[in-house]
Amino acid sequence: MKIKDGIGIFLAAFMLVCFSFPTGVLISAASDGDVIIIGNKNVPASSLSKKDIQNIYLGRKTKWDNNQKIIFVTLKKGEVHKRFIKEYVGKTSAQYRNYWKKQVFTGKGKAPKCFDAEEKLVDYVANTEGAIGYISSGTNKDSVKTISTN
Amino acid sequence: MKKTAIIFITILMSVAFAKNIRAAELGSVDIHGFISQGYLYSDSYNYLANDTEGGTFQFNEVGINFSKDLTDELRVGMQFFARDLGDLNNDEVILDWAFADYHWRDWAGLRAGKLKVPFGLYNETRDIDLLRTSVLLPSGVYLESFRDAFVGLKGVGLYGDVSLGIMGGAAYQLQLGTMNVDNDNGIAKMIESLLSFNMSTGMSRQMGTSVDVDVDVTDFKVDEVYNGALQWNTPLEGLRLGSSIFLADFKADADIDLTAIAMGIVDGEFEFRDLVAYTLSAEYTWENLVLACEYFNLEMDVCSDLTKTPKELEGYYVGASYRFTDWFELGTYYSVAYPDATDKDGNKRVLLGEKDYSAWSKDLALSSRFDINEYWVFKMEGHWMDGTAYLLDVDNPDGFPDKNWFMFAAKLSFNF
Repeated sequence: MKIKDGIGIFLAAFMLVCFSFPTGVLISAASDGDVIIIGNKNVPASSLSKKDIQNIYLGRKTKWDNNQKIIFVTLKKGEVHKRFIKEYVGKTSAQYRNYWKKQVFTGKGKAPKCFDAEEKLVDYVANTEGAIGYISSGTNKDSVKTISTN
Repeated sequence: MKKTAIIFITILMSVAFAKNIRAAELGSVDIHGFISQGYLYSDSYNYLANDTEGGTFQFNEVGINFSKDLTDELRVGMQFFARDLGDLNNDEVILDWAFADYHWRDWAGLRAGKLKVPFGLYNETRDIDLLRTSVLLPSGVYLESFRDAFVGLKGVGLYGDVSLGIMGGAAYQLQLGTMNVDNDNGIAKMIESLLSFNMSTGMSRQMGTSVDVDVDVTDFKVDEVYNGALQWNTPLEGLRLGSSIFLADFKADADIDLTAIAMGIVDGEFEFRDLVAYTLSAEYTWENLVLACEYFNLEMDVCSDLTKTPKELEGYYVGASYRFTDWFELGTYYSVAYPDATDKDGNKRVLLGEKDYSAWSKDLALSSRFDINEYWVFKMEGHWMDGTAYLLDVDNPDGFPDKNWFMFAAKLSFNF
């Protein structure tokens, strides 16, 4: 069996697996909707640059200006999560997940805590010193502070 | 050792399924793990594993790690790892990494213990299949033979992330230490093949007749190893450029089988002096598209009591991957590897009675990746190969009659 048979094997196996999966929807742009950056009320920053937020969520900036540890949290999935990761971190959700798996499996870092629901994320940020997160504009955020971006 | 591996895998699976399959926590200790099972098939040669011609399942990796933040600045962790690749490793459990990490500032931290070696974009993560699109990394830069040697370093490392303002940011790692290299792993097998070939051809030339010499490496001694890596996250979003360098000297004790000239088996010592290996890397990510290219070069002097032979290896690849849906990704790369950078067209090989195509390995790979869910990944890929460089005589006793050949690889991985 030579090269042309190899091509046949690969294509046959590929098609078999493809048709075994549910039909997927091609990745589309996130729908419109504001993403709000929130922080614990004792977080010293009231505004952050996009670069700061990217550095925080990639583990490159680990402390606030008052030397308090930054605890950044994420949503597990959904449009708000996708939009935040794309706009502020510059990655897709899959790329971001892999980035943190790389840190975890090389011992270089601890993956951020993630939440299924925005309300749970808000509760965690409200009760955790130094915490930062993001939610959609419609979610109640009375217990946390809103951090503007510039 | 198989019993140890079975216990290891059982612990891994128990932790994974103990309560859901999210990352486990034991007290405040984080526990993560991965396990992958692969299949390799080659239509002509035994490559990587010694029984790929006809297909083999002796291709797996298992790892579990434990880590804990002791303070805001101090973190400790360790990872146990086992893998099998044909007749290599055989699921022997090793300490993959184990270090204390003092993160003093974002621009300066210190690690001490057994560290992963940053070399090229993907060396630190080459054991973790789920982090990439392809099953096999491009051999032009990530030689399988060097995998065990480049995987971990016992010593200390400085690291940090530095903001460069409008010029983006840079990440650096500097390491100093040494390493244990097993005398029956991939690099030993490659060196045995290289030395046997060199000595056989040298003696054949001297004696005017064909002489077979077998070299069996019995021990490696590695002096200090220096390693550094610099990555520049450029102002162009998604573009990162990097370079890494690896400096080492090591010795290999060997048994040299000279029964062909009635001298029996004699002891020998070979030195690999002034080894300098480096990579140049570029990766550009634009939404779901990732483009990457890397260049690899390694130079050293292979010395015995009487001879000193300079050796230069070279390789490169260009690759691309695109994620079409949440669960489906395609990737491709074209990788070129030269075991002798001064003989890229194979003329020297021809003079030694070898085929010219034994001077190169050119690999066109097409990979498909299916993310079944967050924890499970399945991959398949084809490799259309040109050339037989890095195929070992010991695994291919029938020689290398075919210039072009095909390899298929598949892998199912789970992580938590």
